[in-house]
Amino acid sequence: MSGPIVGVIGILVMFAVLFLLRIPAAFTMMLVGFLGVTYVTSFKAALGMIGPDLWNIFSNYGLTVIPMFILVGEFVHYGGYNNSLYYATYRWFGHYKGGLAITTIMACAAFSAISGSNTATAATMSSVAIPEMKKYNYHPMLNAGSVAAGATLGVLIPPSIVLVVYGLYTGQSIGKLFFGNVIPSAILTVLIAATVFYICYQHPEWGPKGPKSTWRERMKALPEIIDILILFAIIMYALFTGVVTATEAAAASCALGLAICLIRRKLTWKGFIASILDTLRISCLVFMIVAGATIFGRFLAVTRLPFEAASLISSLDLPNWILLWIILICYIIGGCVMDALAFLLISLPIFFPLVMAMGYDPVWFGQVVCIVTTMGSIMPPIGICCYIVAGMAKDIPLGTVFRGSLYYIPAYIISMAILMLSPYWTVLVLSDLVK
Amino acid sequence: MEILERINNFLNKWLVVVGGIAVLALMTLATGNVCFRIFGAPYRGAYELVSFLGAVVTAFSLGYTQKRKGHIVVDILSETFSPGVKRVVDSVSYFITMIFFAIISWVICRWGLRIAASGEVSETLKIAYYPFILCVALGFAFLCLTLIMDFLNALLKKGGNPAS
Repeated sequence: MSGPIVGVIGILVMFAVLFLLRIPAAFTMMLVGFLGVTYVTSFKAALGMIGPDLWNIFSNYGLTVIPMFILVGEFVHYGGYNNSLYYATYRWFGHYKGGLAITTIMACAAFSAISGSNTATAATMSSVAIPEMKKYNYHPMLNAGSVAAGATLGVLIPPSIVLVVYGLYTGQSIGKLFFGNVIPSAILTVLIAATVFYICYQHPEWGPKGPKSTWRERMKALPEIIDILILFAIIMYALFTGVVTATEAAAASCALGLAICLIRRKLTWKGFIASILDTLRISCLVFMIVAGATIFGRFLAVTRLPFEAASLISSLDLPNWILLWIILICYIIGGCVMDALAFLLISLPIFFPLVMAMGYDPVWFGQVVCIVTTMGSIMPPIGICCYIVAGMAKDIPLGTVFRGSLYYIPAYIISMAILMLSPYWTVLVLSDLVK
Repeated sequence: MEILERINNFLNKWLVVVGGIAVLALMTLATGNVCFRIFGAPYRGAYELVSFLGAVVTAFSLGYTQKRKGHIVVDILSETFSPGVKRVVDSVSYFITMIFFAIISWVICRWGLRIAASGEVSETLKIAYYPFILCVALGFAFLCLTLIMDFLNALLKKGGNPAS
């Protein structure tokens, strides 16, 4: 049996194990990767590979940025900044039709500027936004859908765990990826907010107007979000100047975040312990997915499947943009059936060399992939953000959350199309500035 | 069975405590190095120590994360299984993963001991780094122990626990 065929069989076996045996995605990739290397080389060679490989991943300096970015988000979350952010943005947007939904999206965007996780953003914002929208008789689809779509910004807006993992996996600068992400994040945030306007235009009764705040109240609410802006600015400035590593920037913002929470007496001892425990759990999850994908990627490399697939697809007489859309459709389908980060890491060994062979910029491709990955978290049947929102809003069924979220899918597609139309003005104009 | 469960909980709790201390130490060390750099005297070993602490953070959370069923499982198909089938599938998957991680723990431990025997030290600080490798092996051993508990629970208790 030729190497690439073994690779294809390996992928099929991995999906079979994943779907039928209920083994976690990270363990499955690791196990199938290990057995695949054993088959292609030998058991001894596979054993010799896996020990050092796991040590190298666990002790990878670049990956230590992950627990730090998760920890700062957790401190801010348990410090109760979600409430401050929500009510500050409410003062500015609450009086429009669908204003509470727009408030939710803007507050999600602000929270995402310090949290790299969509699940944390979904859980945090659900607890504040859903009861408020219920109070003003918002339609459940607009209510839950806006929280789920807003929460996806958690993995898009820097610091983004998806971009960190992408950067480390493909050897791209985290600073360039974060700066290149500023305009795409802004585009998607505006488009998601515009979707709310569209929904309220179509169904005016879904999002009634809230009371209007005075200018005095609006200005008074601003200091509530200054802490978050300071933390975000520190991370971005440090990465922009390149004077510190991404881990150091994340650690410094973490220490500062903790200091601010303590000085303002926002973080309790219980909240502090919960922050640490959540950080350990989420970091472990991400590290194990990276480890699993690395070992599975090694197996694919041994079979030469990625190289053969890249040369086969590049030999097809199709324009690059069609090939790119085919890849993105694979990501959309993949995001529907399994966790987006796991699918991203499984697919990168195959798609990344192909995209590079087509001549696309790796930083730009990272942004496109990040948006499509983000979209996966609200796509049925396994969109994680929808599950969290449905779990938090006990009386809104999961189906309603998914239906409400589907309104926002065009926003993601349009964002990707805009990025494709002008890679320079949407991504590279800022990423190229990073030293 | 209950005694085993209690021992597993106790040991995982202490591992999480060490993991938590490690994550705070990582934060302090990396932040401290930023301050030292501002004053023109960065600590040369920070890079290595942060990496080693990162390994401890992840390895010592392995058992806890499994205990909390924190790993991502794709249950889109298996959700349709009957409880009996789910219990069998869970028992099989726990058994397979427990064997696999026992092998991994053993391989990393053996490799760490080989590094210790060779006297290999880290590049910058010139310290023996095999204890950190052994910590990773220990983390996988505790993951294996937690999977053994999950396996026994799925096998002996009615209904069983989902894999995640």
